[in-house]
Amino acid sequence: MVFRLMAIAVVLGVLGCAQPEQKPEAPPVPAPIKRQPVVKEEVPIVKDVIVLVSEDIAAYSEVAEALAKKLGQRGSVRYLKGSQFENMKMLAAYKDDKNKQFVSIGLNASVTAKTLADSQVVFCQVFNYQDYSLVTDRHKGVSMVPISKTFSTWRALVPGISDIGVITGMGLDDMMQKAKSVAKKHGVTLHHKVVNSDKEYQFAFKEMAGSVQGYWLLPDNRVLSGSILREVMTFSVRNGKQVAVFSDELLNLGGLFSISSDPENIAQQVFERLEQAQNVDTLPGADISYLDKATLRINSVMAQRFNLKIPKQYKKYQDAS
Amino acid sequence: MPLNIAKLRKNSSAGFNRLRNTLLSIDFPKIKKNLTARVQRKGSSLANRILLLQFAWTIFIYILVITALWFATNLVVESSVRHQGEGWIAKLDELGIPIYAADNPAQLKKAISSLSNFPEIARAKYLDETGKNVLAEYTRKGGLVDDFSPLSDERIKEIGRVDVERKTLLYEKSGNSQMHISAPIWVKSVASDGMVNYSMGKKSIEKVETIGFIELVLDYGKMTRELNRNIFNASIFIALIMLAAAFVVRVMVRRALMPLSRLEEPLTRLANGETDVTVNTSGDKEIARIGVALNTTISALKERDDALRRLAVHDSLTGLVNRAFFVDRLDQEIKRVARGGASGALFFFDLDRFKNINDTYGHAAGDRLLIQVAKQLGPRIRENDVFARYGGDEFTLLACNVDQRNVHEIAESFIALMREFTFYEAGDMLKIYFSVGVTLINDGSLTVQEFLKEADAAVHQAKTQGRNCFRIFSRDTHATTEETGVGWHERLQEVLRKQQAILYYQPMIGLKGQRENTYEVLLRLPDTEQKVISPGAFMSAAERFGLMAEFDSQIISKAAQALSELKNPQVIFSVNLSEQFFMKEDIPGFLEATISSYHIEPGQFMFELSQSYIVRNIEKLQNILAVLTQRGYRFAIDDFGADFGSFNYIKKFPAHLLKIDGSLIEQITTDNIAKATVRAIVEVAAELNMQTIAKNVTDEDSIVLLRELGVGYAQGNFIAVPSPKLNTAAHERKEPRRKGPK
Repeated sequence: MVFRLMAIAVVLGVLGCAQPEQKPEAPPVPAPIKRQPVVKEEVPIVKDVIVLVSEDIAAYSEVAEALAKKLGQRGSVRYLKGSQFENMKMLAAYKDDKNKQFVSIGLNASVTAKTLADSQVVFCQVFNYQDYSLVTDRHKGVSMVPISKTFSTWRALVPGISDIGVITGMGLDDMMQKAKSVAKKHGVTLHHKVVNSDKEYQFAFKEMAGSVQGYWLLPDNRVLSGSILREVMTFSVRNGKQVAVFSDELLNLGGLFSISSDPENIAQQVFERLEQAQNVDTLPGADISYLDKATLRINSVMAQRFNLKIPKQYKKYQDAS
Repeated sequence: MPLNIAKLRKNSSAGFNRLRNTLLSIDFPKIKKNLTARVQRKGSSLANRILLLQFAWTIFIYILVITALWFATNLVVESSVRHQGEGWIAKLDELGIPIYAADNPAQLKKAISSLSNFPEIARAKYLDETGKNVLAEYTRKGGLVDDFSPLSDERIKEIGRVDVERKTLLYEKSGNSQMHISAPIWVKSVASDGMVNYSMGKKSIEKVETIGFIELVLDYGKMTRELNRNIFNASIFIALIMLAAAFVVRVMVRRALMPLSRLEEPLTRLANGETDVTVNTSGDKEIARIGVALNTTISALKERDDALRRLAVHDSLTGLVNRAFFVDRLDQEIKRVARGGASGALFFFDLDRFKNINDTYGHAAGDRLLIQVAKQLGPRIRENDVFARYGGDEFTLLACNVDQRNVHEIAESFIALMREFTFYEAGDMLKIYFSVGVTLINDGSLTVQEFLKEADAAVHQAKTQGRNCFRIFSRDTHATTEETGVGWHERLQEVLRKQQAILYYQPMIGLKGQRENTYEVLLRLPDTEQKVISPGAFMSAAERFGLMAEFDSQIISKAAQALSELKNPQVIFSVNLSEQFFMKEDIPGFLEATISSYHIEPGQFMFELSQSYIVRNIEKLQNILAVLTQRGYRFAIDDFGADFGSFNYIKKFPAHLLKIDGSLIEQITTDNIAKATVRAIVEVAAELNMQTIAKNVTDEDSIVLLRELGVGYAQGNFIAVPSPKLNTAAHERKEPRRKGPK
């Protein structure tokens, strides 16, 4: 897989990216777009896309692969290897290139891509983008949190769920607002608490226990630590709280179900945003577009403990146990 | 009622000081000294010492164990408190979140108030990130909380470090069982991108920040008190067990040492002189080894004891019982007779001429003679009789249950036995006889000494009456002798002391017309009945008692006195000198003094020495005689000619005269060998410029023959018997004519 991507990158690099600015003589025909939120009358100028990947991990590389597939020849994937300074130096070459679009996957690539202030950059797989002020007119992102899927799944699994708690660090108001409205649509009141540290997280988690039936665990690294994760998961299990987690591993600590972003869905969202920005200077649309698909796994043990009946359509998401 | 902690502290401090002063005032060295002295007075016992040692060790081990237990449990308590502290720190860490998360007094109060449910928490403080400012504090109501020094900058820096895997906690103990714990409050967060690929198993990089500090004071006094109480109870229990064990051990040790104690009885008996003792060798091998060693020692002691007993009662030379044993048996016999038992007899055997054997053949020969005599007579002794070597050449026999008739038979049998006996020495065959004195033990009123004196007197009577015979002491006959009751030793001493030695003179007539009148000076002792005692009766006693030198000196002095009174330089006195005389110191000086005091000439003295003595002591005599000869004294060799080997030495010996042995002179007219011998002696003497004297001349014919042979002088009872006055007539006798052949 890696070799393949490397080969593609090399080929692309040789053909296009390694060369100085060249006008493509015969731009490739983009793949047919399934959904076109914005239909332009003009035939868009198809820009090359450089996909910057923070590191070679599944969460990033799968997205990069899916995206590369969609982009075809105009896409090239680059894994950042050196220091941030080196990476920035590398990207500086593209600073004034208006005919390129950039995709940054992960925080490191997204922060590096900030140097391309005048270029269009779509970032993804970054949770606390606000901390790093990633959003600008030309820099926008795709959320890594499948909000609507989370609440729809929860409602399907636990029809009686009414109150869910979520604890995050500061600066996620937009996401929380979106989440609250989605939750409300599913008949759930989302209780949000902002904390500043893992200790406060633990405290707030316990404080909230009396008013919620479950918790929505978000991957906010600012307020989470390994020990706190264990503590809150243990607390949840002991106190019979349902927890929607962001990682399959956390199912082993008592999570009810894990829900994480679908690489294809991310790639699609990114691709659509790129397409929308072909003929404009800035990136149109909301600062953050939200996923509508997700990767789901259900902890059948916890489901059994909570006396939950897993709907038929969700049975395929049950874990092996 | 609230506890007055300050008063409690004051009282306990005062109590401690009193105890300390009491302990310091005890004079332990004096106590030890008194105890030691007491033990030494009573005498120490091995068992008690072992037990004391065991007890001391027990006490030592007990103290060690209790101390170790106390230390160990205190360490355990401290460790436990630390662990507890760590748990409390974690709990306080969580409880204190409201302090750091939000300024929420209500929540803070609620959180802290719950601490009052835990009496072991004496104080809890929350400090800000500088460690200086107190954000919140809880202090236990009632009870004492020790003051601990606030966190220093250095300590804050130390525990505030975030580059470590675990929090650094500081522990500080106080004397009142309180532990002060300081810990940082951390907040952590996963590294920026860490949640995307988060794995619980994988160690992710976390950012750590110290946001404050917790100070906790834990009071574990109650735990300590309970612990001490438990230790106290346990120590009492252990002490009781150890006491019981000590008692059991005491019994076991005593039992184990009993075999040693059992050794006391046989050893005490051994110490008291009993050698018929056996020590038990069974049991423990150490005791068995001691027992075997003791038995070996006892056997050796017994053998030595027996040997000593044998030595004590036996004569080492002959193996016969000795004088001491004999006297004791004699005493028992006397008592038996005194109780009405049958009479016994005491025999005294005195070898005749034993001195001659000694002088002629040496003391070794004399010893051999005594041994052979003992062997000759021993088998004849009855089982109940006691045969002893009384001393010197004297033997005694105690015959039990005998009467006068038995005595005769016994005495005669012994004499006959000796007649059968022949002593071979140096190629010579010698007949040995003895004189026997007997006294009947039929009077239990007499003492041992008295009986011995009677037997001794009888022996001397036998000796004076011819020897080789026996005499039975008659108490009636010797009553006066018994009345004086003086033994030979005392008698001879008295004679010497009182200068009572009597000189008899026997003339030696010149056969060649010599002008000198020579007399042999002979010693006599005064007797109580105006008689004199001849030398045969007392000479051996004088020799035995070592008095001969004194007698010789007295004879010389008296002879010198007589010569001085005579005022006749032609008179020569020939004095016999004994072996003992030559042991005197400064003989020349003595003679010189004697000669000077009586104003006589040395040439008026001639000294006779026996041939046997000269032969044995020629080296010693050469020097002294040379000196005396130089001063003018003359010497004669007495009894010359009895031994054919005697010619050689006379060349070395500065003698002036040879006195031919009497046995040759007695046979000179009847035995040609004797005659030839005499002739040879005269020729040899002539060659050596010596004169000759013939002893024991028995008749006129002998005198004639002697003159013909060239003998210079003649002496004998035929010529003149020894008398106290000088017989000058003998020197004036006419030359006899020889009778015609018979």
